[in-house]
Amino acid sequence: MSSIVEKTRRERLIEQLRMRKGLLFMLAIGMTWYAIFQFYPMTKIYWAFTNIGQVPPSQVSFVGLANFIKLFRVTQFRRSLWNTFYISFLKILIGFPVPIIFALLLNEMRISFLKRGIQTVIYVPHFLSWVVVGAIWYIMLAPANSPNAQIAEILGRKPIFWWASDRYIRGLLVATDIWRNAGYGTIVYLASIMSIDPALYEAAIMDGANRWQQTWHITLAGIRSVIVILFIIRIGKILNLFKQVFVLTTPIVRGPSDVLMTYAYRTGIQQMQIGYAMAVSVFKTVVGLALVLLTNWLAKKIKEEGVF
Amino acid sequence: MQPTKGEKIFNFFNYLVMGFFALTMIIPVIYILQLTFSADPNLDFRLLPKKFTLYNYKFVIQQGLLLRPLLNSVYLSVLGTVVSLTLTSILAYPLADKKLPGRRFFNFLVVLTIMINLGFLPKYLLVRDLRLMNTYWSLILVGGINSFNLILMRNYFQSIPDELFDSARIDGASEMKILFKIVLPLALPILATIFLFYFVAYWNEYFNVILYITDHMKYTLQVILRSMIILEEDLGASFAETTLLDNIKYTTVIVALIPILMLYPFLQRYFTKGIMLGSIKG
Repeated sequence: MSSIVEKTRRERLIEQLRMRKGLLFMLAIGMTWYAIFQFYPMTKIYWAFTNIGQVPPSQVSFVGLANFIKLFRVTQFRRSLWNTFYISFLKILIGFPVPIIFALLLNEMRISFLKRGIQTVIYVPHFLSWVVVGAIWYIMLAPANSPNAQIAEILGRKPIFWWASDRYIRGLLVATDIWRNAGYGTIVYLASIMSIDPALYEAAIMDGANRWQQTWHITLAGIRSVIVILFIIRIGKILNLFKQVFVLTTPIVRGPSDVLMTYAYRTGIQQMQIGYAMAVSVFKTVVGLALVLLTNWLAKKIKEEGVF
Repeated sequence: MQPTKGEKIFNFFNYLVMGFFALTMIIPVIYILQLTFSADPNLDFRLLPKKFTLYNYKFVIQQGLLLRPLLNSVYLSVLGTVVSLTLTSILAYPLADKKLPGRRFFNFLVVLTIMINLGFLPKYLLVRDLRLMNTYWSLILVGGINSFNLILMRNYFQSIPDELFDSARIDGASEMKILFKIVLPLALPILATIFLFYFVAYWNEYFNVILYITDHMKYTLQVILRSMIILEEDLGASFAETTLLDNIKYTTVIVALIPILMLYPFLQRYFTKGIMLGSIKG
């Protein structure tokens, strides 16, 4: 009998595998997709260290860190790096608190049909594509024969072509980002407010806490870990800033709105400087990861739960 | 408890401010919608059409202007969603099995793809080497599995009691049968959520279409819409004067919006659930 009980690890593994033949087959299908469309492209990371794209295919060779050194000598790269950080910084500074405030305000509402109505419409824009968001705001803000021109006329000013203005383009990117995503964030925070134990509020009322004190000490304290996690995720996305800028901007405003990934798109896809553009992507990935790990570490330092 | 005077003032401003923000989310959409029913060339701000007409829609339908891109968008979204949803379920199921050897390793691989994203360049060259350029399969295969959706579904599967699987296995059911006959019917809320996520993602896709599709006949609504309004490209001005062209632009915005608005009640129903599920750390 003892031989059955004392199966070796290896035998147990084989038995588990045999029992799960069908499962392994499914796993194989799914992981094959990951291998081809995620990990195989990932291996191309070495392109960043070659001169592929700058020389004929037969002469491709390793050039060490030459592409990375070149990056920092190119003004367009430095500009796109600065723009990426600057626009993302504005988005976080202005956009990150908005859904938290919205959620707290919605949570204070007692008239349920108004609360539900606002909750319903507030995240409609989140499901619209950047193209549709852009189309709507290009039409609203057109320089002539538009609500924009109408308001300018009332104020007695010349209408501004906002989307073609170097001065306002970053502001528009921040504003449309908030317009599209603040409602979504609000619902996320509201969902986590709903999971706070109501007994905490009852106890606070017994102790004589007013509504403001309840909001501060129970509601905000209750969603603090969600705030921290979303903040870390947000930091990680800083350098991924791409689709919005790609869709909403035109070459007229490239100066203040060109970001790392739109720059990588131009050098990689349009000019086919593959090695160089790959260096831009690798730079983006490494710095992005470092930012996440740093924020995560900081969060743990101040005794918060991190993502990892 | 009676609200104090301060609370009353706060409540008033709270409804005012939040009501204002909620309205700014939908008023631009209503403005564009009424434009498509207006015959008046003056585009001043209003919420109801001026000189009501159905001409814009009639014109677009009669000339078949948006038919091709519309059909392309529908085809891509439906096919893409089916493929992505199938692939995601097929992988989420084994990854949810707590006794699967190497499960931690495979889950780690999935998370790795979220953390390390080298962007479009290597994928673009892969698609080119596979000779998938100018096919919708390029978009569907690259779209494939969304790792976030996969994790959501895996977490949901994990919440199903193990006894269900074990008893089905003892009865000799194959794993595919267990997935499609037992697990998926139990997981309808998460299936609906992820179905919607994929559908909206495919419907809204713009960048990958630009990247992999160069044949104008295969362009989707989003591509046509951006070139009309943001790039202001001339898409065959031969048939009409400018006002008419403008009206077609607005009609295109609405056509691109319709599926999203139709799905919105469902998105809402499953959306909060999806968020709740997503907040379970996996």
